[in-house]
Amino acid sequence: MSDCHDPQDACRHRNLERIGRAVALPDRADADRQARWLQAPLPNPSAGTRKESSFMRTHKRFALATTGIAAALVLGFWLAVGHATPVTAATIFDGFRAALAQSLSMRIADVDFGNVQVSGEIVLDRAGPGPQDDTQYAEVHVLMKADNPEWNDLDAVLVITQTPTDAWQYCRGNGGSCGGVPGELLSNLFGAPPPAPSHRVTFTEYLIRGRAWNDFAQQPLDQFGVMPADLGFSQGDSAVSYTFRLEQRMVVEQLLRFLLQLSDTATADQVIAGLKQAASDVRVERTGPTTYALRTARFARIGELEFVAPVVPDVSALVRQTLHEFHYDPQTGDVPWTRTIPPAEIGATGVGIIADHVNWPTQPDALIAYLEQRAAHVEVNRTNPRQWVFRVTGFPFPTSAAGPEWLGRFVQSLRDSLTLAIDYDSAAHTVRRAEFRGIGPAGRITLDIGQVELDPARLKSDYWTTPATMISDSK
Amino acid sequence: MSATNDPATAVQRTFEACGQAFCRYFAVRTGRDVHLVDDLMQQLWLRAHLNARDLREDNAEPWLWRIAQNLLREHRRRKSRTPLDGAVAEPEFARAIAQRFDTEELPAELLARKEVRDQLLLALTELSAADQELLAGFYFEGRCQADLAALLSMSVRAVEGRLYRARLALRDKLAHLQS
Repeated sequence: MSDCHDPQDACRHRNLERIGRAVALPDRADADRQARWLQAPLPNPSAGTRKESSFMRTHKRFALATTGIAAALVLGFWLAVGHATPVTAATIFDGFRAALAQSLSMRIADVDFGNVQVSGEIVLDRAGPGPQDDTQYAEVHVLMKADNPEWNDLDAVLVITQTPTDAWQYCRGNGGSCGGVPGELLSNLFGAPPPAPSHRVTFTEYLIRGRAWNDFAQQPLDQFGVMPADLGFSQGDSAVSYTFRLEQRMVVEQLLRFLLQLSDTATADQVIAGLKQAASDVRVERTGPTTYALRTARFARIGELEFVAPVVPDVSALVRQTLHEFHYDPQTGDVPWTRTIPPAEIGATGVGIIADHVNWPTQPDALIAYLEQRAAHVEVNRTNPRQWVFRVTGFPFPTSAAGPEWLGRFVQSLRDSLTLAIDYDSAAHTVRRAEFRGIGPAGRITLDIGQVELDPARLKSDYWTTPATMISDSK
Repeated sequence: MSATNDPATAVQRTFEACGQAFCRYFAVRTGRDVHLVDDLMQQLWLRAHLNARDLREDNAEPWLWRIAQNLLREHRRRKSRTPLDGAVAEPEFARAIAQRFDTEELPAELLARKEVRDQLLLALTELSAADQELLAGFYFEGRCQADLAALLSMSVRAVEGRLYRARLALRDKLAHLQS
């Protein structure tokens, strides 16, 4: 170091060392970013370099001949440059942000999870002079497919409407907990069966009058209650089950919440910033004289969008807290029923305990010996001569992480496949349409901005209600 | 025209070699908005690419810096109604820091002030790409002189000499920072 020759430089060096420790430089751009810099959309051929150069040479050759020709050429040059001015992704995102404050409709289509199809529409009509004059409408369908073609599919529907003069919510599909409940009891819970000979099942439905939009924005599927984890019906020899798994419901809720935040002027900036940060591939393509398409893909940092948190947690400690009961009939040697009671915390993890996959010994003495070898605690209650109860804790039950794993695969597919396209008109600095694709195999969300088309009949509650609808006022 | 003399090739090579420095220049002045920086970098490339045949200098870097400065000026003009997100030069203040830079160890409380950090980053990112890379590598990223020598294919002695000149250049930039 030159400090022994130049005391001022030695001082400079020490100060720079201190600055280096105290000040963070902007991050270096990685190779992907550097590659994107070279992918700027070139202007269209009519305004390209070749023609511009021709203009310039012509200008040089004849500029002194007449001022009129020179002026015309200068004008031509400026027009050419005007066409060549690139529209940037930031400009289009700015336009998108501004457009989201207008009236818009957001249509969800073809989101297919195999056992469940999700579709719907959120319409925000902001044509009035103030927020109190807005019309807000949301319609969400969760079509639960029957696993037996003899039975009908179930279309669970949620509709939330809030206009300056009316507000109500309609739900078809709210039900109680269904797991393991026999078909006849389920029929009573859901109101519709006993199943008709055609094997038809219908949901119960209700309508509540009152404003519910804010609740919908916070917990979009809350009105479905605990519906529907796993429904089963049977009639004669025919049985059917419908499923809408917890992790699927989480994804649908996140998707709706994401759209509601995107269209809310208070949160749109944050959501758009998240999208910009998450996308690894952003390109602007020229689609017409004044129109451009922003194409955003490879959302490598999609976790930052908080769609879902697909982490398989370690639940071994919770599994050991699980209580399993055998109810044993010593007279017949049968086990008429068992029940498994896991701690409540395990439900939130998405991990399931699989008790029925264990090959329990059938003889009581063998069962007790088997349990005592493996479980932390075994209690045998023989006070009832017709039914002995074995209570077991600390047994290493097998678990299923199918839910978190499904979430992990879904998020990975979003990272790989999700795209956002925004159509932009540079002449009017407007965005009229944007579309997300790649939500599942064919799922898409289309945003039409500026004009909303909504059948006025759908805004009236009697469009939805039937004689079976329970109608009440909100508290 | 041979490939080595082709202005378009020279512009592309210089753009790629100096990309991190231009990126840093924009980032410091736009509040580190990665997306905006990428847009400005795309515009810089586009404008340089379209006008490469107008390059009359042997070294494309100063020419690219002028385009970068113009782009930033245009961006700020478009955003004139909104407060600037990035660092803002305060020439008098920067000059005062520069005077102390050579004569005393800047106290930690001074370095903790945002306006001081801003002036230092503004000055640093106005340096040539080569000087920026040396100072960034040595002082901010903790690389040793031997690493830098290997990276830049030069001797350790040469790195030491260039670091000396880069420190001088930084001090001069700080003293003559323009608003």
